[in-house]
Amino acid sequence: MLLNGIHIENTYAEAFDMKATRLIVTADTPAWARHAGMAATGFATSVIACGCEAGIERELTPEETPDGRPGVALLFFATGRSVLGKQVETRLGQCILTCPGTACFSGVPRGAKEDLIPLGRKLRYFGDGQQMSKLLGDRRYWRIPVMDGEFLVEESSWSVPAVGGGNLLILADARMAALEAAEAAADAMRAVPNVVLPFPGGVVRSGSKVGAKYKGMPASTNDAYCPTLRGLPRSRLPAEVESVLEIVIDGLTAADVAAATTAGLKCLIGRGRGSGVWGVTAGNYGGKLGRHHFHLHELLP
Amino acid sequence: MSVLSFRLKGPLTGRVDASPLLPHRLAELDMAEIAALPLRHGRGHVAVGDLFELSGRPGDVVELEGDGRLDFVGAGLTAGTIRVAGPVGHRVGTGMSGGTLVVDGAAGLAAGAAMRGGLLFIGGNAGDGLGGALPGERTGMTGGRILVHGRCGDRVGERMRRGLIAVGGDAGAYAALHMNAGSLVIGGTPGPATGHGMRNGTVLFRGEVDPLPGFADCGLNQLPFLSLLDNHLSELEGVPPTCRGLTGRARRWLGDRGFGGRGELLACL
Repeated sequence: MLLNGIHIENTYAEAFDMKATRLIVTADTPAWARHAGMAATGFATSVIACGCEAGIERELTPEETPDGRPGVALLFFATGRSVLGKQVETRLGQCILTCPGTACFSGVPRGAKEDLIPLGRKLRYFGDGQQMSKLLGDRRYWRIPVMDGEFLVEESSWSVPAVGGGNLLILADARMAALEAAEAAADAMRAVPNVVLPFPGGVVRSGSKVGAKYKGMPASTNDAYCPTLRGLPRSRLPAEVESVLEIVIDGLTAADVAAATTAGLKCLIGRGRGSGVWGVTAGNYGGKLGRHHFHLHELLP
Repeated sequence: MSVLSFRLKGPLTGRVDASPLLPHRLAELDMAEIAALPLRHGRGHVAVGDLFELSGRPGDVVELEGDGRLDFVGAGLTAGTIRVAGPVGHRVGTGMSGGTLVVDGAAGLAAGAAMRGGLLFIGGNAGDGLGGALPGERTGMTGGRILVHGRCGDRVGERMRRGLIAVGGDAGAYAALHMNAGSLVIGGTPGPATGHGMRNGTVLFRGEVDPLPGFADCGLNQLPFLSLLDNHLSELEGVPPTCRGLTGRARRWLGDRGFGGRGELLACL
């Protein structure tokens, strides 16, 4: 299908069931909330080697946070609740507890006992016996003495079902054209609630396929979309495409991932063929691995 | 919403145990059975109908005309609402675990003692032992909320383990005596020996205080949880205005260290 001069391939992105949680981190200024959020969601691009995928969902005004200070909403995604719990625990302890002036709250509704993600429940022991707990309504908080005052952290968060691995592949005439298009699309997609784009700047340049010719490699380069290999029989790239970038989407529901996909398509089609984008496609594994399929032609704006 | 109202036929001549007058108990009875219910009165018994004019229908709300000799009002309340116009005697809301108990007047001794849940609201002053422990018990209040607009007597929150008590006026001596945990907010000034034997928990107040020697002065601090507590109090109905508007800054004492305790007294700015 050709829209505004851009080839939209009749294919789908294949995404997976994951577990996610949201943390709300507040601080004295938006900048310090961002510092904590950046650190806590750093090194969280892909579950292949980072343990979890995470990002800053959005910045929060003082009116939107539990303690009336500026903050950020962070989303964390992992393959299961226990991995997610472990990742959140270490990131909370090393990146949020340590950051000046922060406080941390659960950003999801109260869930069932089996979905518990410990926050202060475990971190409280850092207080070495001087920690205090406060129950306000039905939410328990821990107060841990730290050098700049007190670290306030909610006792628990909860994991919720989520969808990870939605994606768009942007095929462009040149590297800069691909980069500018990906930047614009990522900005448009980040505006959708309940999603994060876990890769640096939201963009992946080293898309992967499952498996490799080498033993022990779970993933390897997506050679069908590498322009330097476009003369080989397995290449999926036309002669005019010289650069490809991918945007990966993790969202709390399939509808959220679909909305982000639509936002990305709308931005890319709106910019038109003149922007140097030749076409848009998506990555899948033949539909065997992931339960969620996002068909580009069904999600056009 | 059906309301059952009890109007006193005259001033009480002796102390009356009003504990049978709970909404869920009365809802199972018809008006004749309710009128025939025996209440302990002094050293004997008296029928409900001899003391009160009944009106309305049994349901989840009971309205009582208050009297300073009416004891045990709402004791053991588990659900529903009891509203009292006027004062009550001793032990109002003792051991209640749910529901709402509103007293539009003063309360006597041990109001809300051994409370486990629910809401107790007292529009006037409360006597000694507010939200405290029953004699011989190791724990006092273990949940729920007590809001008092006036003053309270001695030993408020004694052996408290969980929950919230907010007193609009001054508190008597030995507030938070042997407190284990929980929050006690005093809108006025706490009396002498506040926090004696405290092991954990928080006493917040607005006035001046000279803590016992077992309390270590930790100076002025910015405490982020105070803004959370203030938000929480603003969401509740009937919190005394003097307990509101915490700035987040407070002078903090830790103790009672004579008992190995690490509770806190917070003089809030």
